[in-house]
This record gives sequence, structure tokens and C-alpha cells, in this order.
Amino acid sequence: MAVPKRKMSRSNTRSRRSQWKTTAVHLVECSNRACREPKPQHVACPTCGQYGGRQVTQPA
Amino acid sequence: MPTPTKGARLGGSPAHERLLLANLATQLFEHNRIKTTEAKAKRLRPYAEKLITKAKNAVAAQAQYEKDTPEADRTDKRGNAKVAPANLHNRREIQKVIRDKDIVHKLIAEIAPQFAEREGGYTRIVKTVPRKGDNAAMAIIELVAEQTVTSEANRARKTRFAKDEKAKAAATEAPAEAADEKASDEAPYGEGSHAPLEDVNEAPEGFPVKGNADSMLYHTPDSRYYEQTEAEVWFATAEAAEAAGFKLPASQQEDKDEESSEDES
Repeated sequence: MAVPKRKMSRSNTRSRRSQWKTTAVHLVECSNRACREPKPQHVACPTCGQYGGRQVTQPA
Repeated sequence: MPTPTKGARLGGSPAHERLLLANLATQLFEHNRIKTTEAKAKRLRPYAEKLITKAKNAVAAQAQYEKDTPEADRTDKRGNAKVAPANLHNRREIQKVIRDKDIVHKLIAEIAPQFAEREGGYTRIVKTVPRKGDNAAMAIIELVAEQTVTSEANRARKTRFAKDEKAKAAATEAPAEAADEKASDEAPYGEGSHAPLEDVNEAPEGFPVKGNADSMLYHTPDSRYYEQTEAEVWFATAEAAEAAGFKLPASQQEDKDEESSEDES
């Protein structure tokens, strides 16, 4: 079985991990004019519970 | 080569998947709407709709049977009502999946007649925010409660109001034409309206509200569409425009409602 010959240095480990990045979630304004809160696209608004002009959920 | 089922595989084994889908369908028919993961909702949609189709077939078969068979032949030796063979078959097909007989009854007696006018598309999936904990994409799947546009229109046509209006329209056609000619000069939309002057952008004295006959919207002087609108008719007040069947632009209706509610409070 293949095994590492040397211990991986802290520097190498950290260099590799420096490439881990996150991206911001794409948010759009809620289409409900009374709400206008940012929400993910194509998703029922978590604030007002509407989607496509229809009340889908009761917001908490 | 057999075509694989669309969508994600659920559970750990084929048996697990069957049970998951059966449970989801049962819950959907019991509660009319359920919240589940998006992958499960997408698998459930065709599965549940096929069950509804079977329920509709059962209802249709029973109706056809009752129409074709004289009432005397529809009872057996003991006096119990006979069931159409196709009804029984479809019911048994549903019972292969849904073990709860109460739900089977609800599906055939309540849900299937509700979808009589609808040709497929019985369920709706709406995505919601991801689940806390594992960030799984969640969705709400529900039975569509609304009637179709065509069925609504058909029902409206059957009401007595539709007939009355036609008769009235025919009766008043001749005088209405005469009135129209007179109206088109000065006040095309009745009292409080005014035809545009030679200079389209100049408001007639005392008629500040612009009306757009194509969109049937009216614009008050403080509306942001006021400048760009070419008035086909002028109104004295917003109320006069409303009376003539004109509406505020959709983007401003909300504002107006809010204002009026504020006034009340």
C-alpha cells in the first residue's frame, strides 16, 4: 500500500488550505412589494412566506 | 436497455426507496401539503400524480358503470351495491402503495373529484430555505387547490349572469351606439372624463388625471409615469377614473392601499 514518505510540513498544509474559499450566496430582493427582503433566488421568501404572489408558508 | 428512473435514488435499497415513496405519498394525501427535501419532492411528484390518475380512473369507471347499467342490475344477491370492475381494479392498484384505507378513501372520494377538470399537474413544488443542520435543500410539495382557468371560465359561462348580460347587451346595443357617438366627443368614459385636446400633453381645464385606454390605467399628476403617458382620455379625479373602469398601475396599488389603511388608523 502506498504511504507518505515524509511528514507534510505545516507550511505545505497551510498553503493548500489557503485555497479553500467560500462564495457569497446569491440573493435577490423579494418580489412582494411589502417585503423586499433579500432572499435566495427561486425560493419562497423566508421573511414573508410568499412565492410568485402566493402565500406558501407562514413565516415564523 | 431499460431507462433508469429520473431523479435521485432514495434510501439504501430498492425496498427502502419503495417504502419512502409510499410513506411520502400517504402523508401528502393525508395533509395535502408536506415539507421534505427537494430530491424527495421531485421523486414524489410523478409518483403521487400517477396515483391521483388511478383514483380519477376509478371515479370515472364507477360513473360510467352507473350510467350504463340499469339500477336493478347494480345490486348483488344480498342487496349490496355492486362496484364497477375498473373501479375495483384501480382501487387495488392504489392499495398496493397506500396501505391506509382511510387515505385511499380520501384519495378517491375527495381528491380525485377535485382534479376532475385538471389534466395532469396535480401537485406543485415550491422550494424553501435549506434545512438547519445539514443544509439540505428543502421544498414544499402540495396538491394544487385552485381550479383551472378553463374550468373557471366554463363555470362562469353557465351562471345566469352571463346570459343576462348578453341579452341586456343586445337590447341596449342600438341606443348605446348613439350614446357612444355623443360620448366620444366630450366625455368618452362618462361623467368626470374628458377627451384629449389638440395638444395631447395639455390637460383640459379641471381634468388633471391622465387615462391610458390601451392599458386601462390612470395616472395622477404625482405618478412617476405621468410625464411619459400620452393621455387618451382625461379625468377630473382618480375616483372618476376608477368609476370608468380604469385602474392604478400595479406598482402603485400597494401604496394606495397602505395610505388608505393609514388614514383609517
